Amino acid sequence: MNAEILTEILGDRLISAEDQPFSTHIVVTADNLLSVCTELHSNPRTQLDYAGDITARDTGKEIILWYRLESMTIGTTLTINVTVPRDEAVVPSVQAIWPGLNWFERECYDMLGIRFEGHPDVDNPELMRILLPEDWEGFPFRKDYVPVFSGNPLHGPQETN
Amino acid sequence: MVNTATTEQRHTVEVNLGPQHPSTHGVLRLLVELDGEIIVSCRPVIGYLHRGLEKMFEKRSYKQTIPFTDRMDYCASLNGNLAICQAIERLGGLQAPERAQYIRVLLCELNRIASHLVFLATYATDIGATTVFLYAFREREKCLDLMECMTGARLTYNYVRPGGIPQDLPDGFENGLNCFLDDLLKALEENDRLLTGNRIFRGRLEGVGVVSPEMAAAYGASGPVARGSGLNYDVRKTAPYEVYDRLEFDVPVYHTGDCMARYLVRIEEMRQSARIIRQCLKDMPAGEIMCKMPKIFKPPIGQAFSRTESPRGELSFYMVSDGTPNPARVHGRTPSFVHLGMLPAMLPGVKIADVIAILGSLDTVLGEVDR
Repeated sequence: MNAEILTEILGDRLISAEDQPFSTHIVVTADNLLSVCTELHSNPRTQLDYAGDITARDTGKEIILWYRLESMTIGTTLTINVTVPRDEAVVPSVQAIWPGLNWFERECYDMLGIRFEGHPDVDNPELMRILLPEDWEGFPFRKDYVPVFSGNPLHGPQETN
Repeated sequence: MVNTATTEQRHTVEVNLGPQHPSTHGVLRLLVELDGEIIVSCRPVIGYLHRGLEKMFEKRSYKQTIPFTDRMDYCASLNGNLAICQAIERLGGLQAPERAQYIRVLLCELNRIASHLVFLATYATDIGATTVFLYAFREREKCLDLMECMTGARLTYNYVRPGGIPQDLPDGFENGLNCFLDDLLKALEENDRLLTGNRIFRGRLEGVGVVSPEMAAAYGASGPVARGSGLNYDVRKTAPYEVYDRLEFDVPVYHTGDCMARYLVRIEEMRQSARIIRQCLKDMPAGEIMCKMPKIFKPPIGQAFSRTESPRGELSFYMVSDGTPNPARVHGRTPSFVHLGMLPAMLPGVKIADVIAILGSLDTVLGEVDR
């Protein structure tokens, strides 16, 4: 898999593609992400069957997501960048294709408040939170986050049962 | 315990496993829904050990991030050190001298042995074979002594630096290492007679917690979990780093996908690690151990990504630089986090008594899950 093959497969859904030392890197829009992932997962020339990683960062102006996917059969790495606005950080969920990415999506919500449309817990912030307590307010990895001390040092999740 | 009657005529019981349970090897809570003794669903609750390491990285200089990686996977902290140092090196375009690379590989493999010995000890105890614990920890003690004489610490080494390593091998290290490896291979043989062939042990593990290769790939399993499922995936072979491409070693792969396969992979890996260490000692060239580093390290704007094979699986770091002395974003993809995410798919249909066997076979370290 290289940038050429990807340009051929994806056509105008691609913003840019380049070969980097450790991976092939592409940039797509949030609207195209799901169709691109579905295509690359099933296409015999890419066969991205391995769930790698999702992470995101806040630049202060926008949020940039970084996906990493692998092909066990071909033995290649693909990284995808998706940029979304800070005040409307919504991307489609890809956990139906790679169930292993479920928790990474939850982590991205937890830390940066990105909404993963189509994730089974997307409408339930308490279940979507993964590392922080269920009743935590705010998203700590955003650059404008100011930690607030609740006054209770044992501040933790509400008892559910 | 809470009884919940569902609309169907099925009575399920919700059982809380943890967060304070000796067999979860840390603070992990499993909310398990039971129908009789069969598990219907499972929801792992994590985050009890969350310290926000990734946020802390952003407030530290590049070199200051290294000790934090010790606190992620504390059973194999040197592998964490190496992973983040590789990311920093790629960001700054640095290259460690050859001797340093050999010493790094040697120590990482030694750390892998120590980590797998902890797995062996605790896993046998989980299953009910208490004696193995003592034998395995006897060997691990020798291993930690060696690590201590090299790095000055027993668990949190903080040893690898971007661009090399801070100190060369101490006098007499080679002798001590050779003695330890001889002892280890004998102890592994002893362990095979004591545990691996044991009928009760095999009965508890064989056919339990089966993961198919497709599932392993779709869930992103790596390390012994992937290789126990027949996925021939080892970062040391597929994307060699340091000097792994010059060393000769086999990657054990088992195809049954059950707990026994994952156990056997780890036992065989210890033998392979011993092989790698012997080759490192033999091939190691003399020379520098540290490349030239500026006092204030400011890598150019960009992003870097490093992948290493830690004892638990693929440990990778994604690092973004904005040109300042502090990283703009650091993300660690830790194998234990991924493997715990497999539990909701692995456990339904399994008997409650097998949960500990399955959880133990994943060999998770909660410091790495929660970060």
